[in-house]
Amino acid sequence: MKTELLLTTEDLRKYPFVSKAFERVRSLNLTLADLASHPLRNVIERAAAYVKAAVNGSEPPPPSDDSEEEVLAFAVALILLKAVGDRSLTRKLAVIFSRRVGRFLAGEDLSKLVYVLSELGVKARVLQAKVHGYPVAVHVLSYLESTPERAGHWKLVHRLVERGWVYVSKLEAARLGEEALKKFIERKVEEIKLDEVSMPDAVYRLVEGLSAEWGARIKELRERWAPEGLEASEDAFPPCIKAIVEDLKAGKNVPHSARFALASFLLSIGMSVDEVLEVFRAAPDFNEKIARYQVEHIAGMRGSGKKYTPYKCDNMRTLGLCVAECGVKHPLQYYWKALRRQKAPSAARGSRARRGPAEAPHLVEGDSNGPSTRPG
Amino acid sequence: MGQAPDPVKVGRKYFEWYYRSADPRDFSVTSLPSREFAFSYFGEEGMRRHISFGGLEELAEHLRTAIPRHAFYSTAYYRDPGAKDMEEKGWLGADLVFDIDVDHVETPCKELHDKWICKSCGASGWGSVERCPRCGSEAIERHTWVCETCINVARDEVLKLVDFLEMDFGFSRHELLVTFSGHRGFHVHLESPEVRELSQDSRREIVDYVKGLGLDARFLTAKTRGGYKLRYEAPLGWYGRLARWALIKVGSENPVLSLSEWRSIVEESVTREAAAVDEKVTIDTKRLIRLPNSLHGKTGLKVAPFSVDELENTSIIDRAKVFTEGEVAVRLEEGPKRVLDVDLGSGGVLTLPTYAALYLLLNGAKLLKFEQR
Repeated sequence: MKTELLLTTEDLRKYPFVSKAFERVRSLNLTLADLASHPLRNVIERAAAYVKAAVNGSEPPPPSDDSEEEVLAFAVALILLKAVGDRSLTRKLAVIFSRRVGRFLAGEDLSKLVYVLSELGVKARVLQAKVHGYPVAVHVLSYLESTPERAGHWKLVHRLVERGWVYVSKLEAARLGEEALKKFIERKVEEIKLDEVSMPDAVYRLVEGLSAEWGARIKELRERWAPEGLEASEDAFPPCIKAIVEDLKAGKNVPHSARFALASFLLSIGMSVDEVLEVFRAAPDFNEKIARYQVEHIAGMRGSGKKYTPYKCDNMRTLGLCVAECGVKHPLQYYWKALRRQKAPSAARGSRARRGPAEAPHLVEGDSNGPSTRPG
Repeated sequence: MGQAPDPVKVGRKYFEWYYRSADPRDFSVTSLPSREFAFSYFGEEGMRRHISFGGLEELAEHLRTAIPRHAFYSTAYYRDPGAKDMEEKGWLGADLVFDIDVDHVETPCKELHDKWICKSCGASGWGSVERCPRCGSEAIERHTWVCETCINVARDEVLKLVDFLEMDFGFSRHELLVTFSGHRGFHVHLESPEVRELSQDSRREIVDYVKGLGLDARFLTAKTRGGYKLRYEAPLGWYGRLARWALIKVGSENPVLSLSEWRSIVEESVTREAAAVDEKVTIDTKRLIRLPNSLHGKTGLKVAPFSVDELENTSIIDRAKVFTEGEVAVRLEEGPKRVLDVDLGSGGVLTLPTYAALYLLLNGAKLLKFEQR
C-alpha cells in the first residue's frame, strides 16, 4: 500500500525495473510474437534503441511518454541482451541506463529515493533528524555491496559508521542506487530463460543484427586498446610486479599470494607457461613439477578450466603487495598503458584524450580469486 | 612405552579415546549437508578433501572410526559439496570468518618457546625473526610453540575485533561463534544469512576496516584556521577512535593540528585499536576451517567454542585441554622452556600433565621417553 502512494504511473517511466513494473508486464501476459506485431512494434523498436545505445556507448533514448510502453520496452531490452548473450554488452547497457536513473533519483524526495533503493535490495532509511548533515542511513552491508568505489571518501574507514548503518547524503544515496541497479540488471539478464526456438523471425533477425553490430564494435575497440604485435616488456611492468620479480631474483621467499599475482599477471600479458616458469626458477624453493602444476592451474589448463585474472590494485593493497601509488585500478591497466606509451608515444596519448578510458573494452573480467582453498 | 615414542601411534590412541567418548552434538555445524569436509589422518601425508555428510550422525561416525588428526569444514555452502571440481560444487554462499593468529603479532613470550633455524647458513636462535640476523636470508625454518601468554594476546585481538563487529557493523555478540584454533589463535564465525552472499570485495573492505588499512588523514580531516581538524566530532567509527587517541596524545579530542601530526595519531590509533586478522582468510569465500570441538593434530588441544562473554572471563587453555587426567614421564632432549601453562625449565626427565606431554610429542619435540603414569 505504501508502494502505491510512493510510486505513480509516471514514476514507472523512470523506474521500469521496480517489482510493480515487472508485475505489470507479467499481468499483460504477452509473448514476443505479440510484441513483434503491430501495434506493439513500438515496444520492440524502443527496446532495440536501448541496446543500440549500449553498442555505441551513447545516451539511452529518453523514456517514452507512455509508461506501459516504457515498462515493456525495458523488459524486452533485457530479453534482447540475453539473446545476444555477451555479458560485456549487458554491462554497457547497465552502465548507461543506471547513470540516467541515478540522475532521476537525485531529484526525488527522500522517501521515494529510499523506496527505489529498497526495490534494488539496498537497505536504507530516511533519518528523522539529520546526523552530521546526513539525511539517509544505509545498512553497512548494502553500502559495501553498492559503493561505486572503495577508495577516497567512499572507503568505509573514512565514513561515519554507527552500529551497522552508514550515513550518506542524498546524492550519495542516489549513486548507491545507480551501482545497485547495474548489478540488478546484470542479474536479471542472467536469470532470464530464453526459448530461442519459439522466437519470432522478426525478433531473431533483430538480435542477429545487434550481435553483428556489437561484434564489429568490440573488434574496433580491441584494436585501439590492445594493438597486436606488442611483445611482453618487463620495463612496462607495474611497480608491484617488478618488486615481486626482484624479490624472486634476490632469492627471497615470496609468499603464495605474491606468486599467484605474478603468475596470473605474466599469463595475462601473453607469456606461455614455460616462459612463466623461467621467471620462477630463481625462487629458493623452486620445484619444477609443483610450479608447473600451479602455473597450469592458474592458466586454466587444469582443474575447473577457469583462467585466473591477476588481483586488482585494491586486493594487492590489502595483501600488502602494493608498493606505489600509480593511479590505476588494475596492474594490467598500468602495463597496457605503459606499453602503448613505449611503442607509440604520440598516437596513444592522442587516442586517450579523444576517446577517454570509459570506452576501453573489458579486457579484465571475473573476480581475482587465487586458487587457494587451504585450511586456516 | 620405552624410548623415542612414535607420535603417530601414541597420538592416534589418545585421539581415538576422545572421539569415541565425545558427544556427537559437539560437532554440529549449521547446514552440515551443504558443507565440504576435509581431513588428514595419522600416518598419512596430505589432506583428503571433497568429503560430505548427510547429517551429524554420519560425521560423528567418521570421526569415531577414521580418527582424523586434523578436521576441517568449508566456510562455504555448496549445492554439491562432495564434487571434486570447484565449479561443479555450485557455490551458494559463505560465512564471514576472521582468523587471528599470534604468528602475526609480537608477543614477549616467543623468546621462551620459539626457535628459528636459517636454511641458508645454519644459524639458529630463540624468538622470532623475519630474516636471518647473520646472513640476511629469508629462508627460515621455524619451530613454534604456544603458551598462555600468546593465547591471551590473541584473545585481546579477538576482543578488539568484536568491538568493531558490534559498535561499527552492528552485529550482536550472540551471533558470533568464537573458537580457539587449537594452536596459536582464534577463529570468529558469522553465519547470519545477510553475510552469506557478500562479495569478496565487500569482505576485503571489512578487513581493511577492522585493520585500519587505507586510513588517510586527508579524508579524515578538514582544513580550518591554522591547520586541520577531524571532519566529524562524533564517537563513531574510526573518528571516535582517532578522537580518543588525540585526547591521550594531545589532550583534546579534536585539536587543530598539521596533516603530519594527524598522520601520527592515525598511526598510533591503528597500532592500538586495529584487530590483527589474517586478511586472506576473510577474503577467501571457499576456505576450509577447523571443525569446532575437533582436536588439533599438532597440539592435542580442542578447537573449543566460546561465547564472547566467556572469552572475557574463562581460561582458554583450561577449556581447550582434553587429556587432563594422569601424568606422563618424559625425557625432553631439546625443546621450549615453557608451553601452555607448564614450565619445562631446561628439559631432561620431567613428569608432566598428560596434555602437555602429548603436545610436546605431537609438535615434534625431541622426546626419548613417554610413559603414562
